[in-house]
Amino acid sequence: MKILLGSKTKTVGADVDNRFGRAEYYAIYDTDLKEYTFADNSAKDGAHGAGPKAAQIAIDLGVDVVITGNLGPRALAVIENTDIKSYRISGKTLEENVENYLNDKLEPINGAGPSHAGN
Amino acid sequence: MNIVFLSGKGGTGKTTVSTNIAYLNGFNYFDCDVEEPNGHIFLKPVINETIDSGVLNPVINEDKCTLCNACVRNCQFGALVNTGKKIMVFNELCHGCGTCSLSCKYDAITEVKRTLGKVEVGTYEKAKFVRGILNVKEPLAVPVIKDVKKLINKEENNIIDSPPGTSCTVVETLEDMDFAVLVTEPTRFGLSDLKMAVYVVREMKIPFGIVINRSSQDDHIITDYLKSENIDLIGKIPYSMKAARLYSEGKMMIEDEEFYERFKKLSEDIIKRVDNNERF
Repeated sequence: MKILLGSKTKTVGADVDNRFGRAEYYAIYDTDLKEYTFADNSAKDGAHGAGPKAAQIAIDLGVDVVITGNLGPRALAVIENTDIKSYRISGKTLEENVENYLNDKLEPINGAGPSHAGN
Repeated sequence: MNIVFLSGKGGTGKTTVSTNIAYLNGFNYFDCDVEEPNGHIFLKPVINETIDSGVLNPVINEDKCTLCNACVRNCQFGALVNTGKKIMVFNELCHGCGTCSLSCKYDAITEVKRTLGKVEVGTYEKAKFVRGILNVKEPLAVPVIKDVKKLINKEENNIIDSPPGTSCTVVETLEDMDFAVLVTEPTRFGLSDLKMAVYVVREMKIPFGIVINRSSQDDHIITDYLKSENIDLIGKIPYSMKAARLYSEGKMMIEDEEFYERFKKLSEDIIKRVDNNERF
């Protein structure tokens, strides 16, 4: 299973980036391999529509879970149309969040946060 | 002949200067500041036609769609998302370019017009008055500006009131202009945005000159820059309580004798430059 998190840098010990659409980078944790890979966020510098673009990135990466601060209305609409589950960040680093997820300690994201919150 | 009034910074006096110059000369007036058009307050037109203005958005026929992803890949605005089960369309991100429907091999996309605002057409005195009005909450102003500009006849004398800023809306307004009047104010903020406006008109190779509105002892903020860049100062309008009062009452500056003389001179100086088609 693959988990996507926003990441401040492309290193395993990085802090999470709580923005979804405008996260600096994406970290993808593979629970089978117990390994992180990192991806650039091509959505983050656009004038509009970072949320749905980022949701497309998550879909194309084939992730099963997204851990982020909030999903805006458009990003949430996309995620809800897929089998991807979304959870709210709890913890400072990537590793803390992955651990919290694996121990069932993260809260699912149900409603949308405000638009343009990551600007 | 098309003369455009722009400023970079909002609230420097684009509409004050452009409406007075239009009125004095009996020129047609086109309000392209579609997010907040206000030229009508001063020119008091009679509107006799309203045209619906909009953009074409894609509608996906899910029976025909194979999720091949061509439309998503080609969309430059991120308005389409492929969830793996269906294509989602975000209309408010769509610029109506039609690329999705051109790239669809399965004839699964039809384009449906979505209203963004309207264009009002009328007259003031004996000249044409046109203004675009963007609907509230709508972020996409360019299609409405395009619809306003379709009504410009270049054989006639036209004044075009630009939106503030230097983004797509201003670039769209500046297309096909013969001369640009950059209205500024003697503040650091006015200067900062003026520099961006100058950059845009130079890039688009439109001859231009500057008008300093609310002229005061601080004019050097602007004039030092104009000298260093060898930019033409067309004229100045003084900072005065009388001007502020006329404006707040929705009156033309030229209703006042002193301002009438100033605007007459300013108008002659602008038209002289347009006729000479001076390039700076």
